[in-house]
Amino acid sequence: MMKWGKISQESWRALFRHKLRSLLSMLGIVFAVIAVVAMLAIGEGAKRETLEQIASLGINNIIVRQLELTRAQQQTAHESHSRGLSLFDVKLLKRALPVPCQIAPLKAVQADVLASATKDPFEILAVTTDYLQVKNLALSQGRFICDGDVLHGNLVCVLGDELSKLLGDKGHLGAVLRMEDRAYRVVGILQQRQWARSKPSALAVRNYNRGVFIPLGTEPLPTIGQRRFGEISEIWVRVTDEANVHASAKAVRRILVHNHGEIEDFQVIVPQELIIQATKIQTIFNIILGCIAGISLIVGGIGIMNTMLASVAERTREIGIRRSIGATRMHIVMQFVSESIILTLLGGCIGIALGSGCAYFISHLAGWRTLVTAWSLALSLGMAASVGLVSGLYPAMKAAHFDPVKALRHE
Amino acid sequence: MNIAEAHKIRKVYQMGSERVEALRDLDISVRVGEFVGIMGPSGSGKSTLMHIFGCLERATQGRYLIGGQDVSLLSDRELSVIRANQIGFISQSFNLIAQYNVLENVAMPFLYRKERNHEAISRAEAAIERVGLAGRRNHRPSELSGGELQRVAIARALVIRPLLILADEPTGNLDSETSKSIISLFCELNERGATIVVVTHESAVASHCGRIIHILDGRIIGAET
Repeated sequence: MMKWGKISQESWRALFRHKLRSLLSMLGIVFAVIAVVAMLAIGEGAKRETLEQIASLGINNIIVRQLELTRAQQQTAHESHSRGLSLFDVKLLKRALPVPCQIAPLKAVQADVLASATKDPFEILAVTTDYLQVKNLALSQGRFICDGDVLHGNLVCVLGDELSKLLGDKGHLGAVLRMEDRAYRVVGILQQRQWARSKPSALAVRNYNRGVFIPLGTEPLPTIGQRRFGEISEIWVRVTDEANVHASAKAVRRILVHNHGEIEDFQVIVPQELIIQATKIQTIFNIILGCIAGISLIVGGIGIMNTMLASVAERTREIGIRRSIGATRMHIVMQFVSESIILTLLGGCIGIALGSGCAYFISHLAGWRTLVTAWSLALSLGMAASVGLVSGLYPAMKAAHFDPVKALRHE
Repeated sequence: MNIAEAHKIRKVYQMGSERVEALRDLDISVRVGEFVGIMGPSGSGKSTLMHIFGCLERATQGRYLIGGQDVSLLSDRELSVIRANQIGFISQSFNLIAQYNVLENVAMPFLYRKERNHEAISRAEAAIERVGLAGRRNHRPSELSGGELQRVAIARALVIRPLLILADEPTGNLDSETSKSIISLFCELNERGATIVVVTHESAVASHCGRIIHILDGRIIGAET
């Protein structure tokens, strides 16, 4: 049996003999692999970002959001006796949902925090005590909003970690913070939470690090222009058993539609369903990508086959010499196939390096999140090697079946 | 004891609609340690006979035995194994790989054998030394003279310690002085026990052989010792 080390050494030498030809035939594979690696990196980055956004909403959660209604839509809603999302909806859900769950209403208000050095308006979240558990928030100091605060309308607040630091002395426990016309005492500070900026969408994740939490019902009154439809902005439902999320979401929608006079003036977001959808979209994306990459690789493979056929024709006499000193057909096949595999693997490695570089530049210049995964590199290399095998096999078989005597006579 | 035996060997080539009989019921045997010359004009079938002896071609009919083994029914792979282990082939055009140096050319047969790398190199070096090219082991074929090229080809044939050395017009591309040195190398190898069959149309070469077989139109027309 011919030694593999010797085979690859022979193949290297044969390829090195025609550096330019090898390089040019390799280019097809290089570009194909660049495309595969860069596109997979973009796809994987987008997928990861979407999944993280969805997961940060909570896999067990169901989010009901008040829709922004036009004046005409609000009129229609009023006619159907819908007041938008309300605390009555929360009570109804608590009573009617058949599975164990926690329900937390939330009202988001944009207001100026007067002590803040930054001019950005902060999102003030008026919540009940359940919100802490539903959103898995953790405190670094003090306490969260309690039932008593909501019941008695205590003017207390809990600050996000970043906001607390931004406020300096005014952001410590016990400090008093003015929001619009009201003064709130800081009773707690949240632990810092991982957050990544995302495009505004239904899935946009709040930056709790810059949030202010106050008891529901104590929120400063928004100005007339900012007044929104609905008593509350959101209802968060955390279902204890993950398996019941889908059925519970259906029940939530049914209950609320019934209570809103058959008007769906709210949006039900189920992160679990969104993850399934995102995964399906990613699968479709991967299939399209696979087709594009496949076509590119076929084109690259044709280039390699062409080079190998030229090489076989050029080295007919060498094949005859090798056969005359004892090379079997398999030895000849192995030699030429290994040449084409080396060619494509080398092209694959260059493509991976350039593709990863492309992904980095795309991420840097366009601000897209890209992710080069180990499996995408393995896939690219595997595909390159397979193309090498397939495109090298025909020329190798052709070489192996040369008549040794005729090959020796070849000039 | 016979190293190679051909019984009623017939070789027919189909050239389009035409049938060409290159060998017709040939019987030849070569004994251990013999130096046999095969002579004949162009187209007489000498090279075809060498190719059959070297297991590069199969006879259309008849039996051919090498080392007592009938190779007529062996597979292509089995014939390759015989070529790798039992036959040293030398041709008029040297058949060396231009990109390899002398040592690599001589060690080439070991690519298809089981010997370890260091053993292959030491045997190749010994063979190079034996043909008088010890100082040229790192030279490429393009840097060697015709005689030296043929010596490299001989070293490559010797390196596997073959049962049979086949030389097809080994002096065909050499001047008379170089031819003499190559023939004397063959004689020396034969004196040391190598079995050699040389195809030639030069009587000066054939005169050194222990036995000369004359072929014409694929038939043996005479033999002399």
